[in-house]
Amino acid sequence: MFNAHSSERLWGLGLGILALGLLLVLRESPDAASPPPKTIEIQAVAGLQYDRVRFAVQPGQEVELRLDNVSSLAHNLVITDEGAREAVVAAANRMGAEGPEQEYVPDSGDVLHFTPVIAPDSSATLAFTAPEAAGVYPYVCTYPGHGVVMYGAMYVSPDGEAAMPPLEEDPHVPPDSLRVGTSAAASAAHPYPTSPPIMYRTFMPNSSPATIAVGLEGGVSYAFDTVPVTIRYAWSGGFVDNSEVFKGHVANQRATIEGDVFYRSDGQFPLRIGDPGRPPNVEFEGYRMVEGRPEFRYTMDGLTVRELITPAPEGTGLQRKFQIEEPPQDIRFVRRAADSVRVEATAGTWAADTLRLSPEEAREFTITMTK
Amino acid sequence: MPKTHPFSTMSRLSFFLVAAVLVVLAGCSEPPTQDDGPAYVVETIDTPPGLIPEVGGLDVMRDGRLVGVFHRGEVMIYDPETQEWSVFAQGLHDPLGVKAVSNDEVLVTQRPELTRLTDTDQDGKAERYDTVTDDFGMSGNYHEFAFGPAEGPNGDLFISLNTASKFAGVWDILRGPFDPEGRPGRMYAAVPYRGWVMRYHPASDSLEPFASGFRSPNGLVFDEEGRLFATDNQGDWLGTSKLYHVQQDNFYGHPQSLVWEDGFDDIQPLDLPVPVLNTMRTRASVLFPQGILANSPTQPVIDRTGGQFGPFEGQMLIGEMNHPRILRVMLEEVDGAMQGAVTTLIDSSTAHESRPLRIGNNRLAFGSDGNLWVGQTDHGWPGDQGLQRVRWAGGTPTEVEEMSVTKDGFNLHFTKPVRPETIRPDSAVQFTRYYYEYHQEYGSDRMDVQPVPVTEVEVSSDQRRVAVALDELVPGYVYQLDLHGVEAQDGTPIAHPTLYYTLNRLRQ
Repeated sequence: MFNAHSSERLWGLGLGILALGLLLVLRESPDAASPPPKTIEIQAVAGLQYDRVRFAVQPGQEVELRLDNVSSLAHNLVITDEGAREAVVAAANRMGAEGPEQEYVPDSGDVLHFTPVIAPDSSATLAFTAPEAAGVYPYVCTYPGHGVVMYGAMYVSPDGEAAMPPLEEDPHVPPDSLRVGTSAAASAAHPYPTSPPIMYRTFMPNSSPATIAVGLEGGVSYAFDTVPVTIRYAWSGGFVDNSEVFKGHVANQRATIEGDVFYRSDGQFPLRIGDPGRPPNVEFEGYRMVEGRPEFRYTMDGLTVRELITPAPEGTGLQRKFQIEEPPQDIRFVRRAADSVRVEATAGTWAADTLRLSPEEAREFTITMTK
Repeated sequence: MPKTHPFSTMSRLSFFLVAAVLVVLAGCSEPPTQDDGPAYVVETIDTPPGLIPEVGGLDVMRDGRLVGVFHRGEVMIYDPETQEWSVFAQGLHDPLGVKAVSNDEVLVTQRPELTRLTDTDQDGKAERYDTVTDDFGMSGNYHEFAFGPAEGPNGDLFISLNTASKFAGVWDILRGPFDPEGRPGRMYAAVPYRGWVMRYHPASDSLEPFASGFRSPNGLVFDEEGRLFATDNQGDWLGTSKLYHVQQDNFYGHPQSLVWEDGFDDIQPLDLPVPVLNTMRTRASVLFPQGILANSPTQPVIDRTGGQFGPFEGQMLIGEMNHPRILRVMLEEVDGAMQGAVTTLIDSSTAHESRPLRIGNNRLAFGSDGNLWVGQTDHGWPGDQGLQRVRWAGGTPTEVEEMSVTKDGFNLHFTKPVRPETIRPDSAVQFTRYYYEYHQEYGSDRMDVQPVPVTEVEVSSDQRRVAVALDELVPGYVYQLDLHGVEAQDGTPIAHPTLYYTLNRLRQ
């Protein structure tokens, strides 16, 4: 249990200094009214950060700081003297075997107060008296590796929060893209042009986790799900925004679609061999890049199928060129009644929503879906 | 259970006095530091504009070019001769491992699959992205990383599959079957084969579960004898981070993966008593003491440079995320099982001023010139980004080259002759032992920490071997060795004086 105790070692130091300070204060101004106690709540959250990167207190104010660890890693919180954050972190990194024994808090006069290291899902409360001297006092996690990015600032000032500069101009808080949001330019950063055609395997909404997003010329894009091995949906407008996904270890982020979905399938594989009632066993086998676009390859009951998807020649839509190696029987392409697109084929015969192709026709045919 | 503090029993007054002394001490003396000496030189390699250099994998092609994979999906090639980068492939999903097959072909492990990338027309870019295998589940949980491949002696390819994190759920649309018994737990395995090392057999084109019980196995390697090793990360069920010798059908201790083991239908692994799990599990060959030595050890590599990288040919080096360190592992077979010691090869946290090696050391690969490429990442964890290269400068560092358990203690084999007068039996060689608890909780304190008295120290006639006899050897403990004031004949102090030997078995 780490609730409601700070380390007694520095409690000693804190109390000692406190006693000295108290003596001085009492001597100078025995009647000084002290500000009311202040409670500060800070969470250690995913992505190596405190959810609160700064707060303000009055000089000499009694402070109760509660640290809740809602992340998946262990953390502490160490308040240092002004400007001493980096020195304390460096000293913590040199502690060796003493690190875990001493909560990764070095024996340093620059350390004012600290919580112990707390495991995920636990909390610690630190009660202390704010320094009498106005200034900016860093707080930082000194757990190995964390101090570079996981910190914040305690402003001590009679002016309280008015002493703090605008957050975006504050040099005492981490310049962390996780917090301030990644700029569109940064999220698009790649060492190659990002104009279409472009593709990502990424986490997409409303599709399996093994999905490929492809952006084509003319602002039409689609999500190809490698589990059912077919198009899940298509949209027009922009492509995808991966900036949340690129943040990494935070949560189940997904890319967001930029534009409007104009086609949504039922997520079922559309081809049949012979028996129109029996879906074949489909295996995704990869793709080949053709002029910057993937030509998917998969097998259905062992038959190799290639599917190249390009923008529809007219209107907003997709053209799907299928090539099937030596079809032994008739092949059927089943469209769903829910399809909101116009569907046309270069070969075969439609009967209601099913296109029937002879083995010869099925060797190569194109389905065009337009809005 | 509360941690104990050194002064917890003292009165408030003595706190004050002790604290005052500490302040004085801190003010007048710097913590002891030591140099890495001139043995290894770290150089930072510029990465190209537009690349966010979160390194997920590194390998070296036959022609000496480096191939790297990056979190945002790029596969890049770096030519050390021309110092130029080029894009080999793009659009992959969090690739976290790469293996060069030839100058035109690489294998990449990305989240959804093991993929073969081939440049068929020798234009420097892959045209073919062939799925080698995707026969494992994905729940959509962000923590389900995939690592590897490592190639076995007979050409089999091994990948490892991370468990999911309870800090996020599973998706509505999955790949593979969902087993609700695999859903509880801090790190969980609700789809197959999360928490497993998998073997891909090329001839039968099949992916088979090979060994279970892993949590976050971010590093696979085969050694010279064809043994497979994997690192795993401290957390639930792992009191500290570990190196496992991975053998077929063994279970390594993280229980949730057992839902995908034969015979465990309808069994909730978390309901199994810890003593039962404890007898089922295979212990780690090496423990990496948490926070002291390492927090997240990453990729192991074997020094096969034939001496081009210094005196540690055949040994294992491992990257580390939270500290600016490369770890060095000395393994030996004792009573039929692998165990051994670990120390640091490079530790920039103890350097005087500069910090030549970064943190975030996720991937290692030896170049054909015997230099070690080190790729860094952070990706929301402690770390850094970029690429560095470590070169052996040619000097022999003063180090313990081998540490081997004997019937009554340990033999230390130094890289060069040591001054016998610095091997003072009363102080130069100090041992501490402790263990880590095997339990469901996250991590473990060091338990039962005790000094182990040294009863005898004997220096060999060539002054390169020191035999240390201990009062007691107890299996199941980490034996931490701290060398104090040991110097080589050339006057240099020992570069990395702390070693950690995992004593699973006694020498018979």
